[in-house]
Amino acid sequence: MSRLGAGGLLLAVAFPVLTGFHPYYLYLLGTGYLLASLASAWGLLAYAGQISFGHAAFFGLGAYTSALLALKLGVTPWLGILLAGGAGALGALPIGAAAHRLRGAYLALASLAYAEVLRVLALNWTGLTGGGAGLIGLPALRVGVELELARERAGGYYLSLAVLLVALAVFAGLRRTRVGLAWAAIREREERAQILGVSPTSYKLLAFACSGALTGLVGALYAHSVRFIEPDLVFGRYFSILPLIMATFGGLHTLLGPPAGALVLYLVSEFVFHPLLPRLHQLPYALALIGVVFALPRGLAGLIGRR
Amino acid sequence: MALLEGRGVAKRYGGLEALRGVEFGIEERQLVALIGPNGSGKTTLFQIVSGLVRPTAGEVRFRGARITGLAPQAIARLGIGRTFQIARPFPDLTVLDNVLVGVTFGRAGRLGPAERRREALGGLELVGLGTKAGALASQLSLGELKRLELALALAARPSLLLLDELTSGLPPRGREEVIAFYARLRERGLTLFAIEHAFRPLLVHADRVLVLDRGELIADGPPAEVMASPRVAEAYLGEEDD
Repeated sequence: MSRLGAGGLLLAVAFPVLTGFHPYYLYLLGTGYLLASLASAWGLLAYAGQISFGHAAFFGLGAYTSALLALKLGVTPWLGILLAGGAGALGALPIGAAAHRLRGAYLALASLAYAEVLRVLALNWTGLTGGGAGLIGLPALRVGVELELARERAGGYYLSLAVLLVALAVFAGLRRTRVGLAWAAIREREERAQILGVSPTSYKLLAFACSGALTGLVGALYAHSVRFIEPDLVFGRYFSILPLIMATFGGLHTLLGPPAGALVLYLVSEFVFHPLLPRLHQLPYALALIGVVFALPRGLAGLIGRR
Repeated sequence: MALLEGRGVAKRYGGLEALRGVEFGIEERQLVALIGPNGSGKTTLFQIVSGLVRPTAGEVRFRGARITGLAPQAIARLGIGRTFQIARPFPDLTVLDNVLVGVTFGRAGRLGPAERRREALGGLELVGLGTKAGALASQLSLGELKRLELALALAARPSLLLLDELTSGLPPRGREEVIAFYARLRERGLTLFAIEHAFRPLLVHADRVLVLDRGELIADGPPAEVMASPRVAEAYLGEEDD
């Protein structure tokens, strides 16, 4: 496990050099890391037993927070992405509060509706968000462009990788504390956890806040990487369904399953399906979901027998 | 003053009266049996005491203070532990992590991580599951699950333990072992309130017996006296004593 992890990490760090700082590959894998963080954020919530169909809500809040701060107030994107994390956490609290009463499918539907409400709000609050036309000309995050080593996309690549690694380290740490124990207990049997003294409401809120914070931060990173956002994209179903499929495919309740699932699916989609079937390049996501449901209930992690 | 008191506890589900005006008191350091035919309201009473179900009328008091209306976790933290008729540990956690939930969020929660772990392992030893600490709860046999139920309930260091048919499904010898264990817990200062369908072994050790029939408390007293009551015999008419 640790050997595999160390090897993968070394490869990820050396990747830009190995590919001669090829901008397309750096962009591709950098985006893969962002999606891996998104899937991990979704997976953290699933670890606490809460299933969301609406992570685009927190993603879009983060993207719009940092974009608007930069465009309207001239706030540097570095501060912007941190505040976007805060916006994602705050934006997740209403759904976290709803989880006090709603379980399972009902909560999932509420989260889906929540993302839709925010999307329609962003579409129609033209004065603030520019409506359906979106926001263009977002400033890029400048990461070490002065360094000779890091050309063009390498800075963004390393930043995405760093965010993913920090997020995974924090989640790994949380899982070992009483917070992680409470999350697992609530997920397994909420009523039983209560009878043993666990307060589900506060731990659920915490899970939503953590997941929302990372998702908001990733949304902002995405916004400053693409440098253009619109409501139908960042609040759309794509960013709600994608992390769900990726995390489930990688392995629910595991630490490394969701990011691994995200990387595998995204890279297969971009490298294999995009050149062969450009119009059907999202097919692997559908196939992965069907495969997991019918054949691999524990996802990739179940395949290699890791927890 | 009784440790646990029920005052006019009633529960109605639509047209069904599961409990009607139940009054009882349980003294500290006693083993009290709660018996009655199927559907007489025994588990409903436990659900109400542990806060999972709210009574339609009446209230439950613990150490003189009203607990009806409190959240289940608040009641648990006051020192009321509970096992479930259908063993319900956390299936996808290890046996040790299961007990750690009880240790961490119960009244031992202020301990450091190493002490909590030691306490959890000690609890597993106590119920004879020491060698199973690393197994997943979902891999345990029925007998082991029952032991885990007990270890979970004890992990929170309760002063009152509600035991719901912990011996059902066990062979007769296993039942007697569990009941003897109740008596040992009583010697250690715990108060136990136990439901058993096959209640004979329990009555050997019980200080008192409460009998429910169709939601009403029909008898309350020492085992010999209660079992001699014609009202109780009538309630059990036609029931198999298994």
